[in-house]
Amino acid sequence: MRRALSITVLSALAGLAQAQGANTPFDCTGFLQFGGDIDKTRATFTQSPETLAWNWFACLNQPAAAQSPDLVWETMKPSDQVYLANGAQPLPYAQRVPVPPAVLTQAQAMGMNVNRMFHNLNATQQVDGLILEMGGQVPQAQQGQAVRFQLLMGPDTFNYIVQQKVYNVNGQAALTSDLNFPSTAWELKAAWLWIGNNPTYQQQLANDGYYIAQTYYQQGSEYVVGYAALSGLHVINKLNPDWVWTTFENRNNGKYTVTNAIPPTPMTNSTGPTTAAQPVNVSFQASYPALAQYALIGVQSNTTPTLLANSQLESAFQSMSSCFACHSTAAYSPNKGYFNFALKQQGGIVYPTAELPASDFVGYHKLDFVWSLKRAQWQR
Amino acid sequence: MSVLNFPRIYLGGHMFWNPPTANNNDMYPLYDAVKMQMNWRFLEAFKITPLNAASNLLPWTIAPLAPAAVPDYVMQVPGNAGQLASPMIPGEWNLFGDNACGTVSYNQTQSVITGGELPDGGYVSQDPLINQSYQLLGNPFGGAPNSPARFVDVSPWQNTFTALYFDKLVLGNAECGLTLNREHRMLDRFLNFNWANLGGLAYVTTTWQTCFPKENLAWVIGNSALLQNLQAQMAQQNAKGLMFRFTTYLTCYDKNGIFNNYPPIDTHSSTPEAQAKVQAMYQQALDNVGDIFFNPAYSRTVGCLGLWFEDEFPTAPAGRRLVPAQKVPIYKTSPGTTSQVQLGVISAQAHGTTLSLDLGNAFPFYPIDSKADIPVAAKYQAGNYQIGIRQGAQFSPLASFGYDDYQQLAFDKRAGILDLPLTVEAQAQLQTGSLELQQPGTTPIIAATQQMWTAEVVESASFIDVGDTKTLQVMVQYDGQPAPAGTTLWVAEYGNAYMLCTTDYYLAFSNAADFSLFNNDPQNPANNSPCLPQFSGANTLLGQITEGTGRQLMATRLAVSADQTTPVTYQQFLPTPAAVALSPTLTFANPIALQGTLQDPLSSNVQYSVTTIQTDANGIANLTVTAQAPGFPTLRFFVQDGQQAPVIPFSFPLNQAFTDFLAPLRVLPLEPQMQQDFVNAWNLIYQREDAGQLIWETFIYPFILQPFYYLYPIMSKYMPLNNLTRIEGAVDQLIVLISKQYQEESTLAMPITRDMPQSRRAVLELWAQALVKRNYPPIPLNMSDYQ
Repeated sequence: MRRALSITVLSALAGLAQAQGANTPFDCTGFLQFGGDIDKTRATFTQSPETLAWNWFACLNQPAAAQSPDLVWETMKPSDQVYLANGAQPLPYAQRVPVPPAVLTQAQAMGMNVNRMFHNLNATQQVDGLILEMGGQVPQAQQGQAVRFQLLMGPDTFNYIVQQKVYNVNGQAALTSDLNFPSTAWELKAAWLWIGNNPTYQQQLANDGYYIAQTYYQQGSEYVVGYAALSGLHVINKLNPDWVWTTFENRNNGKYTVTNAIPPTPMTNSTGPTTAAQPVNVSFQASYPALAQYALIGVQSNTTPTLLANSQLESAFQSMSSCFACHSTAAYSPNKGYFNFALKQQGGIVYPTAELPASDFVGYHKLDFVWSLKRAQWQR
Repeated sequence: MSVLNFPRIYLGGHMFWNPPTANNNDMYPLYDAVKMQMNWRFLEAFKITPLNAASNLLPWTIAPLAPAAVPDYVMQVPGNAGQLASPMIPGEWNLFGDNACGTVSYNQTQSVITGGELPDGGYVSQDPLINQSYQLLGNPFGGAPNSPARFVDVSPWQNTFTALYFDKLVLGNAECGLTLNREHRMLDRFLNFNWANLGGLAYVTTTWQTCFPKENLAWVIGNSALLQNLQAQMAQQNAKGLMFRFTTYLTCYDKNGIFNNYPPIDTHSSTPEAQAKVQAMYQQALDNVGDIFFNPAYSRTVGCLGLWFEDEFPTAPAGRRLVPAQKVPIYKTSPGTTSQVQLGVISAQAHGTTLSLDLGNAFPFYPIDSKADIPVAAKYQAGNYQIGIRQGAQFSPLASFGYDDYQQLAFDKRAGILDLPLTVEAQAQLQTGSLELQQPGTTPIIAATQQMWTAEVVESASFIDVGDTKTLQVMVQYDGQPAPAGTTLWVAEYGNAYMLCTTDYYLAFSNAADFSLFNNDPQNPANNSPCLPQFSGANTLLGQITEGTGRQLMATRLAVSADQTTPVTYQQFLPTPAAVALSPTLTFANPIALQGTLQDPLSSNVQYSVTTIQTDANGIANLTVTAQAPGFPTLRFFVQDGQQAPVIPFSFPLNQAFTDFLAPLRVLPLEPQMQQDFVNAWNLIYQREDAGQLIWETFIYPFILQPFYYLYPIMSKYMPLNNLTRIEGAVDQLIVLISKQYQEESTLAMPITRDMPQSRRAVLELWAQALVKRNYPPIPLNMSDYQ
């Protein structure tokens, strides 16, 4: 699993992508472990966070293996296979829960590749509790329907969760200290435009540069199977102690997603692409045709920049969206449950854009920025 | 002093009002707001039950309902049959309303600062602040720092009183402006339904007022002399802060596409085609949140920002107040077609050489073209007037004014305020008697007289829980000044007898008294008229027949003997699903038990309770009440003038409420057993893997969230109240928005109408906090978890 970025690309970035230093191609080998040299990766990050973010994105989007129809990031462990409904210990990282037979039956009928990955898009709500509506140029059947989400994690994130036995709430309730994930912990959160089985619409999205995957979700006791288009992707890792936050989204999202205003208006991103991300986007988009319509919105490290949001994942609260500040509230208390980051202020609700004082977390154990742990269930 | 003082800043434009209309109960008793449940007994007539409501109720709510299908007891409520002559959609005109309100700034329709007044008088038409927008805003909601203000009828079946919740009033912009942070929410005053007889709600006017302490103000003066003067005069005159008073009038409906970019809709046509279209649009929006739309009502508005002084009511005009007396002739453009109407309420203030009258709510108006996209108002020609002093039989004019002074242009220019010059002699006469407004002539028409005593409750429209005790401050004035210490106020509780329409007031009584409630015409209930019996010895009132009631009122006539009616008594009507008991909901501190016999064929003895309170040195009296039963009490205050106790009427008509001293409250039920039941329910199932789903299906949804799901379909866009997954995913926000702390003032309190009994709120909080936030732990609950 080795891939090198072309010299041409890096030449084009020379003026701005100082992280590349001597114009050497980026080595995707073991990138989830930072090539085994975290100090070097931190130095690279410091030089140009945006360039490194794009290199990671490119590595994640290469085929998982020769001839594989799946991309690297698609093979990461989905959270629904980590936090099981019965609170049981999950299967090992590389082992997957089989796709439900009912899904495969439908998939075959639709002509899907049953040997390709099927993503379970089991969530529709963002952390502010709202959905993101599809609208604009989507087919009538999709107007007003929700963009769907999934959460995935890398091997070292998963292994730490298993090791700490916090894949269920029993384990979290038994914590005696804060969690501390390894530096090589990664998490991804993907946003998807639901296509279903509509070849015309699918082609339209493909023409707009969306990555199309095979997906399903459960509705009551039934499964809905169809194609979906990747509209946004958070990529985070713990390169720094308070994590590194990067986010990408398709540049055409405003055509297919809308605000929750009445009547709805096209969804836009108010936080980026940041000034630093813009030239890097231009270069990488030119070099990666398959990713050409995806843009890095920005990279947040601690509170710089103060706000960072993906229009597909933090749609309605972009003006109060800080990855670092919000995730720094990840905490669990056996008595109070998970920390409430919907802050009661000015007679309304605001979200943190700076780290809250330690005094707010008395009685809680911090979960090291990993809010996905909220999805854990009790083992009864 | 108030906004009638100088200097002033004038504002004007349009307001939008976006109520959810399925629960307004203008004509159908769909929602039993006393018990806070759907009115299942009423719905039974349509074969809608708790078991099939999920599939049947909302479709029924949006389908035209033929008059023949409406139960008799609904048609019988006086005034209702007149507004149900043709099929009506129970959900009415704005199914998806969210209670938002505010000023309109859309395309060419802008709500802006229009002018001002110099510290010594003198109109200001040029200033950087002029033509800047102004807006009432609510509390921040996540990424929306400026959510809208909200308004809520205190009672869903009494349109008379509406509370306006907001967080701030913002004038201008970051370079030149003023932000006024809320201290007091608003309650409409002087809502004069009488003018609806001129042609409907479009003719009705109301006044709103709130005040801001000076420490609540954030000034960005920029180059604005208007702001600079106001700030300087506030300090120089040692004002307490600023007062904002505005009038709303010329309310119109179905203006989508004109004042906004919502899809055009006609909800006021009774043609089958139009109603089918409305039904289809509602259904489409119920099926898909992407198609949800609003259909707000709109009003014209003018307002004024001025100084607020000590001893002035924060939420109602203080100072000298004139109330209507004799009717005056009015006409539009031709003197040949006159009508007779009473004027509205007028506040008056003398300052220096000026007598300022607040005519914002004084003179009736009409839409020049009621079918215009954006209706424009004109004042009726209501004659010429002298304002003067009455001393016994003697009337001494102080100043005069005519149509040119109160016509629409003048009204718009100075927000309805008229400044009249006072001679030195007139200034001297001001305090020698009571104010009076006359139309001069051979036989002068006394159009308005001074209401010497006024009493206003600062905490009006409060919500109280059964069992709780609350003290209300009543500010009492005599002749516009704080009442002398020791002034006695009598207080009595009144209620409304119907769970629909907007109806007259009856004294709350504690025995099983009976009396004629209304006269019923079985052949044509449109002829039904209310009975307003009085105690023996009191003056009786003439019965009136109305076409429509409250917001729907179109016309009124006196009942005549030719009306073939038979009386229906209170006790006869009480068992129906449209009745509300007139039993007391409040207990007064220091109650005085009284009884009286009614002038009524049944001659019932009525046992009731009143209390007396006295003003302190500041003219403020404290009234302490304890809530004993859920409901919608309206307190009425009677000032004792001299040694004689005031007459406390058994009943009084809705159309005089706008000049009475009334304080609407809402008493929420207490259901302590529900809290225990919830704990018990959880403890039976907590070890089950599906415990979370079970407690939702068997308790949280059916007992707490279900009525709100039906009554507020807009919630489906943000937090569908029938969807456990969606609520679990928004539980952090839910916990904040249902908190007790937010119930009192936040514009985001859930439900927005604040009708969440504390027991249900406690259960919901415990469920959210102890179960959902902890992912349904296999741990039993106990009652101490509510702490």
